Amino acid sequence: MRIGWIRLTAAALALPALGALVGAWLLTAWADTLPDPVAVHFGPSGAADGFASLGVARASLLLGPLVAVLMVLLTGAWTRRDARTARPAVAVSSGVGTFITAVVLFATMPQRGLADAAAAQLAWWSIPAAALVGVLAAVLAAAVVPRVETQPVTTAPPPDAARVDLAAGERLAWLGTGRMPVLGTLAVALIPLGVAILLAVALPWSGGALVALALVALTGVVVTVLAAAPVEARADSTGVTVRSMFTLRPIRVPLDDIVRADVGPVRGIHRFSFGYRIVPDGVLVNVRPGDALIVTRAGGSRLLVTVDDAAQGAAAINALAARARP
Amino acid sequence: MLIRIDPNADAPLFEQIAASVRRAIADGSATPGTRLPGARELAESLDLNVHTVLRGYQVLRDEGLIELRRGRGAVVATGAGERGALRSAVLAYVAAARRFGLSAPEAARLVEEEMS
Repeated sequence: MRIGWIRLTAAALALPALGALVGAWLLTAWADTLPDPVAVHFGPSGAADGFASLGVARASLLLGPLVAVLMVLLTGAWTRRDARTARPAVAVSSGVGTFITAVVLFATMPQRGLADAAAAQLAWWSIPAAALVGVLAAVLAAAVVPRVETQPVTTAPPPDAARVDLAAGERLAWLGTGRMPVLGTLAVALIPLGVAILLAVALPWSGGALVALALVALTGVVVTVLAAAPVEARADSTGVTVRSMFTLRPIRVPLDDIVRADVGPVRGIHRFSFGYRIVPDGVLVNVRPGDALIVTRAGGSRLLVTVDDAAQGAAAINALAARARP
Repeated sequence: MLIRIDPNADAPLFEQIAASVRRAIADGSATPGTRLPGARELAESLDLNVHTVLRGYQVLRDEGLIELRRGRGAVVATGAGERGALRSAVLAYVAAARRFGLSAPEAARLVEEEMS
């Protein structure tokens, strides 16, 4: 199932555009108290090192909506406008776009009352506050994307989809887990830490900025470790449930929404990425190299999960789906 | 790990659960350290009473195939593969002995003779 380009773009654009409008209005209202030119770029120590006229600063608010539109159009093309992945795509685009607009605003705000922008300092709170606004925008945008409603599938999985033999009253439950080797998890957790250490050594940082850098690095480590957290897939007569710490809520696919289940390799560039991924036609939860359980849903969306024993899982799902559809 | 139960079969339900886990251990789809589904979750999936699942798990624990740990749930025990294979062989032998009409002492005597 596909979502329209206009709807997709509008959902991602609304909040960054609103942010840019409010920002432009505020910058105009503050025009008398702001220095002109204003500081628009800051070094790692937080000291201003780039300047532009107030008009350019106001125009740079447009960067947010522009980035949001570009991101959502790219993800739309990448996922072929798959309706189920529209929600995370819109959330991330809207969040990043609003974050950029908020950064411009929060970097300019403390310059009110300054005679010369050269004395401007980036406030320690500006980036975290902008990030918070971005997260809020992402949550809000996700909430307005409509849920995908599909008709229950009434035909059994095709004969080429493997099935386990099932007696008339027999009940099945299948559980598959996938985990990254501990060394792999350690290696990916070291990436954000390594980048942060390199940056800390290479550039002159002020104390406050260094704390901010450490916080960003720590967040990076937590996110990468969570992305590499084990994933668990369960199949029974209600459908398929995928749990991982990274997705917070379990991903549930009702049995009557499943067209077929297969096992196969993860193809394309996202084979080398891990965690919760938006991929063409659906979602991939990738925690280790190797084969994945592939669940094809009504409307053509797919859910891929790299769990062990996926062949047996696929056969169990196909058998349960076939029995539920006379 | 595939757990299957058939309420119409003769074997009790808890024994069918234990048999499914034994099969998974024997065919290598459950290796030492593999976590078994949570008892409540599995009971929900199979539409069973949670005590039936727990009883199945207790049978497996008594056979030394799994370890039940508070907080961590049921985990396939170290060395379970070999124990599982032995257990499967014993079950196959018992079934064959019954087919031939041997009593338990007679079947045991055959084993004793082979091992002496």
